[in-house]
Amino acid sequence: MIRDAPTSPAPRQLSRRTLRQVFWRSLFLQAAWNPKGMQNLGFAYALYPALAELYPDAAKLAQATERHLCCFNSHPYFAATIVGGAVHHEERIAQGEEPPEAVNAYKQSLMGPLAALGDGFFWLSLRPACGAVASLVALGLVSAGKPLAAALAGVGTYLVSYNAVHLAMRARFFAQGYLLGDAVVERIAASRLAAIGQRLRVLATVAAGAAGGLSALALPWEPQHEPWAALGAAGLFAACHGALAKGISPYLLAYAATALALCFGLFF
Amino acid sequence: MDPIRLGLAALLSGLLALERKAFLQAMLSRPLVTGALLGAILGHPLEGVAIGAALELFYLGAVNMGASLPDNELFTTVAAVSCACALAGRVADLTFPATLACAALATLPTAKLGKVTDRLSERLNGWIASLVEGEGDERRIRTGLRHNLYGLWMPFLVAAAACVAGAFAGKLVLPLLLTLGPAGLPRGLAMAWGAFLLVAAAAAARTARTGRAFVWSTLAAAATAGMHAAGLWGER
Repeated sequence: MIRDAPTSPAPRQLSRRTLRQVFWRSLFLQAAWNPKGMQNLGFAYALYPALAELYPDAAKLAQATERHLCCFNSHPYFAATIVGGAVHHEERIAQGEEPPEAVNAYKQSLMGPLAALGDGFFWLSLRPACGAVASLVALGLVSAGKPLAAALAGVGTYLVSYNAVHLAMRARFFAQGYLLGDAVVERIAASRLAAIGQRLRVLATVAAGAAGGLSALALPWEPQHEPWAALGAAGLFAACHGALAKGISPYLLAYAATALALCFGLFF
Repeated sequence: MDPIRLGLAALLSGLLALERKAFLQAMLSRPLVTGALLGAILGHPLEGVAIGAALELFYLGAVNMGASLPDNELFTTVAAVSCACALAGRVADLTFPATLACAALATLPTAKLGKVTDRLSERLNGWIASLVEGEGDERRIRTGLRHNLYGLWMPFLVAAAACVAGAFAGKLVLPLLLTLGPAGLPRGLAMAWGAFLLVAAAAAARTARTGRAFVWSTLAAAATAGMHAAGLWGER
């Protein structure tokens, strides 16, 4: 529906300061996440400075705020697009160019697809890739006995690589939502997030495997047994991977594996 | 353990708990980052970063999607790091990997407890939201919207408590239990740390959900371990 009816940008009425306030407040979107309205309170909280500027009349402001207390849930980063778009629509509603229902139709149409896109890219691709690579770097340096380098390199790799993408995209989503309104959908559809996400997942897998190989270093082998330790680590890693693929709980596997290792260490 | 350091660590744990879901989500609350920060504050950076990296891998797939709640990895990290830092050097013969294994295994189930507190926090937030909904009066709505931030309190307090509880376990409970154990226990625990890392890495590799995850990750594990055995990567 939204794709078929792109709206033209309305003349901007809100100050940059107010827009910055809305963006800042959108970072608290999930502060009061609740099972009934989900992110509703956070959404209304984020939008309030814009609504207060658009509706000087107290009764109209109350009506506008209540519009945004309906159930809302999306990916917290992609929700910035919807927050920006909601401001866009509220500007048009305040000018009488759209009916008040238009903004909720916009929110309801976008929140599901953007949640799926955000979960797939950020939670299931970018974060695992950054986390696995950073953990590999940190464990490698820990095994070399360099705590400061491990902490700095591990944490630095994680935060810089993740947030360079996250923060830039979040700010851009908000700006595009505000400037383009419904037409933002075409911009997002044209992005190659799914293909990039696939490559990031392969990177995460390889980094996690390499970290598994490093675990051989933690075992107190005699020097003459090193080659067997390497082979054993790879074999045990494959066995653990297979067990998890069969649906065994990671907790159960962790305690079973450590109990076996404990017995081995105690008796051999 | 220095009470000032512990107080600072508890404060930081609470703040990181807010970052986990309620504010920003810039991954400051992930186990690797949290572990490194808490370890530095508590004076044991090596323990902090090692436990953080292992738990990062173990909980790489813990994702909060829609209304589903994952186990609370921050809760476990905070408890495990403060426990390891309090335990370090308190028991004779307990080596570095044995200390890490002991702390991680003792605190791992607390992630489930963290999930329970997350659910309670959501119920509390539902009550807060109900105070605002249905209000026709603008002034009351404006005041009510500020209640959005009241949802920050419970995660803050719970994470700070987990930090203190972990330190208590590491300082008093675990040393007592370890002294009652058999003589070979430290060596067994050292091997258990290697086993835990293996499981954590396998869990991380499973998270990626790629078609050939098994092949890619096993090859990478063999290559890394082989490089180390050949003396091409790091020192033992």
